[in-house]
This record gives sequence, C-alpha cells and structure tokens, in this order.
Amino acid sequence: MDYLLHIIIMILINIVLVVSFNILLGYTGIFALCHAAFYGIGAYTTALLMKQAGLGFFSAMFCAMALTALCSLVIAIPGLRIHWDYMVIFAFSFQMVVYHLILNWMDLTRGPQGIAGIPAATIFGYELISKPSFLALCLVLCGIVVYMVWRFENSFFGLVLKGIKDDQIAIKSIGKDVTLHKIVAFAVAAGLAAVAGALISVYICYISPGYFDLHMSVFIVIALIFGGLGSIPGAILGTLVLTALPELLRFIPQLPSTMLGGTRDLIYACILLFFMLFRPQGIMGKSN
Amino acid sequence: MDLILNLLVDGICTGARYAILGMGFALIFNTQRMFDLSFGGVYTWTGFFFWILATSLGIPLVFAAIIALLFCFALSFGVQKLYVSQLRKKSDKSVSIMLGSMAVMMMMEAVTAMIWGGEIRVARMGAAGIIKLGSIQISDIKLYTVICALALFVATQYVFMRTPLGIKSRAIASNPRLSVVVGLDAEKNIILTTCVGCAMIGLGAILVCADTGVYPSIGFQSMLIAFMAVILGGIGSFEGAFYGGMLIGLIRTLPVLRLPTLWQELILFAILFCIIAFKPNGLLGIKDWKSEV
Repeated sequence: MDYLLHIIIMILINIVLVVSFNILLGYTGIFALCHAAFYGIGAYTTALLMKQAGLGFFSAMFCAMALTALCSLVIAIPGLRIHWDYMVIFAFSFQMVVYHLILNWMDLTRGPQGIAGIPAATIFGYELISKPSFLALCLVLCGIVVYMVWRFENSFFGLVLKGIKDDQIAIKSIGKDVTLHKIVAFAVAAGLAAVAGALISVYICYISPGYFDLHMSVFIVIALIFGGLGSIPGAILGTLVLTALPELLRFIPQLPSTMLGGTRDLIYACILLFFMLFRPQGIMGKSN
Repeated sequence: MDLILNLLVDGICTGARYAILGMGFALIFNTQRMFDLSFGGVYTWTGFFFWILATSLGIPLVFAAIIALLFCFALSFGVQKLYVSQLRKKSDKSVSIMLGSMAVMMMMEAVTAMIWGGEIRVARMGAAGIIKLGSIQISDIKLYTVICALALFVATQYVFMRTPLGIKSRAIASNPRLSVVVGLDAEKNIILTTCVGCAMIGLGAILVCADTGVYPSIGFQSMLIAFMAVILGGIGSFEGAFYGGMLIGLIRTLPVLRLPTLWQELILFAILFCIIAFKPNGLLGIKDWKSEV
C-alpha cells in the first residue's frame, strides 16, 4: 500500500513538472531541454531555506518559485534573441551548468552526498510525515498548478503564446511584444517547476544532484510528447504512463534488477522513436 | 615545468580525439543542417564491436580496426536508411529530427548496457606502449590519434572543397531546393555524407577503445563533445570544428593545474553557455547562418 502511495505521489510531482513544461514546448514552441535544472533549483532552495533558515514550507516554496523564475531570466533574455536551433543547445548547456554547480558547490549543496534531514512540511502545526497526509498536500498543489495552467492556456496571454508558436511574425504585426511574452512564459514555467522541486525535497526529506540531471529533462520531454503537445489531459496521461511503466517492470520475475535501468531506457527510447515517426503530436495532441 | 609540459601534450592528445569527433559531426551537420544525434549510438556500437573483435575473437588491432570501420559505415547507413531518412521525409522541423535521432542513440546505448553492463571495456590486452620524449610520456595510441586527426583535417578539407561529393553536399547545404532543381539527389548525398561523418566518428571510437576503453554511455558524452566543438568553432566551418575540439581538450586538461578536477565539466559548459550567449556564430563561424530571429 505504501508503495502504491509512493508511486501516486511521484506521479503527482511529475505531473506538475510536465504540465509546466507544456507551457514552453506545448504552447509557445520553445524547446528548452533544461526543465530539470529549474526543478533542481526549486528543490535546493526549498531544502536550504527550510533546513538552514528555518522557514516554513509555504514561505520556502514561494521564495523558491521567485528565485527559480529569476534564474529562468538568465537563459530567457539572451536565449530568445538567438535562433531556435541555438536555443536548444543554450538551454541544454544551462542544464549542465546547473547540474555541475549543484554537484560541485560543496559548501552550499554538500555535493554528491546531497542534503539530508530536511524538515517535513507543516500546515497549521500539523506535520505531514505520513504518506496519506503528504498525498493530500500533493493533490491540492498539483490541482492548483493544473488549474492555473489551464486558466493560463485559455487566457488572452495564453492565446498570444499559441499564436507565437504558429506564426511569430503575425503576432508581431498586431503589435505584441513577442520576446516579452516568451520571457514571461519561461518565468511561469520555471516557477511552477519549483513547486515540484519543493514537493520532492520535503517528501523524501533528502535530495541529491542525481534527481536533477539531464535524464530527468529528457524524461519530461518524452512524457509530454507521448501524451500530446499543448494538451493538459495529454500531459497528465503521459506522466501517468511513463512514471508507472518502469515500476511495473519490477514485477517481472525474469528480469534481473541490474537490467531494470537499461530496460526502462529502452522503453523510453522506443516510445520516442515510434511517436516521432508515426504520431509526432502525441496521443492527445491536436494535429496540424 | 615537466608537469605543465606533460599536461600540454595530454591536452593536445585529448584535443585531437575531440577534434576527430568535431570534424565528423561538422561533416554531418554542415550537410544536413539538422541536429542528427544518432551518431552517438553508432559511436558506442562501433567501440563495442571493435572490442569484441580484438578481445573475444583475437583479431590483430589493425585488422579489427578496418573491419570495425566498415561495420560503422554499414551501421550508420542502416540507421539513416531505416529511420532518420524516413523521419526527414515526414517532417522538416529540426526538433523532430533531433528528438528522433536522440531516441535512436538512447536505444542503442540501452541495448549495449543491457547486454554488456556498464563496465569500461578496453580492446588492448597487456601494457600500453609508452613512448618517451625527454620528460614527456605519451601512449602510442594517443600519438596515432594526433596523426589521425591531422590527416583527417587535411583529407576533409580536400574532400569537401574539391571532390564531387563535397561540392554536392555543400550545394545541398546552402540551398536544398535549388540543388534538387538542378538534378541532385539530395537525400542520397545527405545519407552518403552522413555515413562518411559517422565513419570518422567511428574511427574516434576505435582509437578510444584501444586506449582508455568504452562504456555504454560514452556515445552520449562524445555527442556532447562533438556538439560543443562545432558550436565553439562555429557552425558551418571545418577548421572551426578542428580548433574547437583542440580547444576543448586543452580546456579540460589545463585547469587541473590550479583547480580540482571536478570543476572541468562546469568550466566547459560555462564557456559553451557564454559563447552561445555572446558570440552565437562561434569563433570561426559563417555569419549568415539563420541569424534571423
């Protein structure tokens, strides 16, 4: 039962990530392979603020969101001036810089050992240590994030973003500031990724750089492509399937545990391979 | 002083290794103008194929290298024909090519990891041949790497500038539609050039396998390095890829003098980050490549 709860919590945290990434790749069409970096910045900020500065969970989370949104400007402002193809590599190098910074900044992040003993989240004096109570927190936060993204998608701002994806010059011609819209999209996506980071750091009460490496960024992209670009139900479905699938592999008795990682990667790769060729818009995405 | 000299030589040897990767990727990228990353998987498989030939089958290294090169060419032809070319027909967006070819690479690496595990495999049995020049020590394979890199530099310059294949692929790169109009088979030329580029990268894999060894995720790492070499040197330029690779080799080895080794990667990516932010055309890049926003 505990195991099932664990999987559900991981799915909810990943949903926050994939849905927020949807703002970038799904609506705006910016392919920034660095979402795990935002996730990591959010997680480490929350963990350090709660452990060292003694802040509560929610105030630490809001600080983390603000800081992550600020960090996203580091790549959004120079990145959006350059061509799309460069943006990919640019975001990618940002991901690597953040990962190696977390890994090597021993004084702040304790490097590969990670940060242990992060206090559990408390609401009105009630500590959310048990899995069911934490699941409730995840559900509420995940629900809020999904609702916010849904409102964002259907707002005027969201429509402009979708327009940017389809025809940037047309949007420019009606007097919209394309770069400003992209920067805000970046900041919103990064800030929401920090929510997932805050959740993971108080969930296991331990974080290490391994959670925030390139593989996580790639996982987010694959989950979104599987579910469908620009579709919230698609993003949720993709996360659900891709998070649960590797866990199901554990129940195959013939598969030795050393091959689990390889099998998981193989499945992800085959999914990506298949979808790019035969259904690039994903299961629930709209074809254009 | 000896330390600095040894580090410098080591940096040049590592740089030569990266320069081979960079030039191979430059050949692929300059023709396709797409981030086709499947060569990372080809790299891993060529390295492991060479390792099997040299250790399990006991074939002498030189012959094993020739067979592995042929295998590499055939493999990349298969990958292009079966997948990347199909993908290119369906969509001309570079994001789908990049993700699809990344999936090919991930798949090939995952298969390798499942069959052989994650250990490092070195093709050469016994002690490495060490060449001593005064106070400088260098393994013979590293020396061959430098020679190969220089030879390939000259050869690609010649092939790309003078031979029909090179001229055709430059024409396709500069104007794909017009080259079809004048009767060039763009797809055939792209596949052929990509295979030649992959074979160069495969040569890099063989040299690494004989020297320090290969492991499943090495393809991905090499892909990163090749990428960086091309970006650093400048997209669209061969000399750029060569110098970019050399520079990365030096950047990775020289800071060891003053900084802990862990910081190498960070410095490397920070430099890449700054280059793209402030000088996106690279050090020697052509100016007009897609500079519009």
